[in-house]
Amino acid sequence: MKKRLFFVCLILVTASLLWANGGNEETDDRLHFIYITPAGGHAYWVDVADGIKESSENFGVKTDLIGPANVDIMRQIEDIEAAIADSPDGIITMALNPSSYEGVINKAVDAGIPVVLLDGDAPESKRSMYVGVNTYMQGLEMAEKVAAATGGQAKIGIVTAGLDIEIINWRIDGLREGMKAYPGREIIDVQDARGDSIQAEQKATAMMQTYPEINVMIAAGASDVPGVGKAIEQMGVQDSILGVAFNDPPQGIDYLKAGVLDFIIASLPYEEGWVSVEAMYRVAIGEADSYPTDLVYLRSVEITKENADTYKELQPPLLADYMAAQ
Amino acid sequence: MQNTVEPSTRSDRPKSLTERIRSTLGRLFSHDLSGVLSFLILLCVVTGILNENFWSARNVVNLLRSVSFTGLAALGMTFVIISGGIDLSVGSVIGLAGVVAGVSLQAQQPVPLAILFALIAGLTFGVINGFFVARIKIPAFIVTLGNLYIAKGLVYIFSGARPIYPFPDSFNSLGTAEFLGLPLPVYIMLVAVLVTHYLLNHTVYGRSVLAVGGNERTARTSGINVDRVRFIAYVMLGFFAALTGILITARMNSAIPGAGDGWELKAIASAIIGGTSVAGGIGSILGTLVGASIMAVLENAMVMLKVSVYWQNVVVGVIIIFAVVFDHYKRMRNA
Repeated sequence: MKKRLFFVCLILVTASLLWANGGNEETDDRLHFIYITPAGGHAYWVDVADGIKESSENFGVKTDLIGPANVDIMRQIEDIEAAIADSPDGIITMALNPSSYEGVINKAVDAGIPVVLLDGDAPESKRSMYVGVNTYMQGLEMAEKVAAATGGQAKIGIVTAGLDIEIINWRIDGLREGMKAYPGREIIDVQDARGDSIQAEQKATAMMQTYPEINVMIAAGASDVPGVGKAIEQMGVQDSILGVAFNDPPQGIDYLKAGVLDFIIASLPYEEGWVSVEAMYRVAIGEADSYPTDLVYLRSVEITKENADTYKELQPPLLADYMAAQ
Repeated sequence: MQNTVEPSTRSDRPKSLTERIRSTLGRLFSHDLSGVLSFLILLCVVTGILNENFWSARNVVNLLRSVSFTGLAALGMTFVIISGGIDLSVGSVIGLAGVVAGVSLQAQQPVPLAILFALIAGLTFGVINGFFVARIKIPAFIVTLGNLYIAKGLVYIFSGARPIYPFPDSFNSLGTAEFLGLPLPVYIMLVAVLVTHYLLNHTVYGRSVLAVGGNERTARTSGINVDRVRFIAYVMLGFFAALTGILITARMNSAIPGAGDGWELKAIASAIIGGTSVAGGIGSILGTLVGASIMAVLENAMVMLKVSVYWQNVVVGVIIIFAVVFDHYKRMRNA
């Protein structure tokens, strides 16, 4: 019985591995890029992947998508190592933490494989270009908008998705810096929901009760948006609290339309994916050598109730247009 | 007119309300649970003194809701740990059940059917875990770790890694409705506590679970069907994980692919803080309820007491260890 079960399991495992590998057999003459996602299971990175796929079709290149489903720096670096072994024409990935990635990025470049980073940069590495939103600037922009919306005193509570996520920390740093220009506006408390929406709701609720003076609640990460929105809605304080966010998950857009959240300042992940493939393509054909900068800072959009249905219809600018404007 | 009571003997005299409360408290505090229960009360009292908002109706409701989500998953985990096992797939199964309910609702299935599908998803993983652990004798750690990945993979496959929403109000009300000021999940958890408490303490199955976890060989010699006992424990946990997933999904009005991540640790910690022995054979449902309450109160108290977000994990960790050491010391002294 056990021996039979063992063989059945063996056959199943072999069959599933062959099936999973089945799509990789085609060969063609297109440029071959490998994109290693930092967290393919998250909605934000699914949108990035969509942009990468469509951009790849547009530029006539083949881009394989690999990487961990959840944030796992070690696993992502191992996947980059595996990509290097595959000798593609270029690697696209994200540096969650610059110093951790420098070694493997330099290894790829030394092996003749150019690297384009998106969303998280490793400026000390040998990467060819960086494409992404400057989240520190997003924080500064948020400070301006919050100051304008509150007029007088702004006491801010923030729920973050993780204390160790640098791109979110830069947002908060930018916000803190921006607030210095406005006396009477300060960050009262920051709580970590660890990427759990239920935790985000509980932390936001407890925070608003602990600090009754809070009149601005900010969801700093995408996973915080549903929880912060739910807490504001549940406490019935949408008229007295300015609810804002840095990401645009679908629940956040619904909260905007319902008047629970007031505005969202978000990057456009689809655009990020799209432009990163274009950057990789320009690097691979040698065109990027003439560019005046290796930094491509994409725009953020302010989403309100009014443009909640239309903001994604904006077309990504071509990289050439961006460089011409530098 | 004042009611008078004829003098009676100590044994047949009806007890007054005060005496009954005193008697119940006395039993509780002389019970194995007294250590962690005292700790929970102390934690609540201190937090309440330092921040009066802790006892506000809104915060208590917030806390009870939190306890109900963690508690439901922990109830099932208690049976598994008492029987000598462990289940690492709980968090992923919570997420999967939510996504299955979400996909079903998006496919215009009636709410009861969507709930049924979600429960079936949870039960299926319970059956698979139970079969491989109890029947094939593969270590629980390995089987449930494998199913952690499989269930998480299915979450991504079914959801496309995007949140699924919106749902009909009749479904959302499972997580949002309140009755007599308390959220519906709290009542669901209380019913689950009563049922599982009865099951563990007053049925043959409950005694068998304790016996199997305590000494498998003796239990087998006594005629207990050890495999069946373990199998049922995993199936029960699958059910409770699915129930938790359904309630979280209803609460958030969206099936979030990341829901449930890390909840296996919450469930295991709740059971162990509540006195369930990692070695099996010892544990109680009320203890798990207290453990889940400590976890929820700690998270809440860290915000209420304005503890720096960087120090919160350290403080929570120290307090959990302190609670268990305190409980252990008290048990030793009682023994």
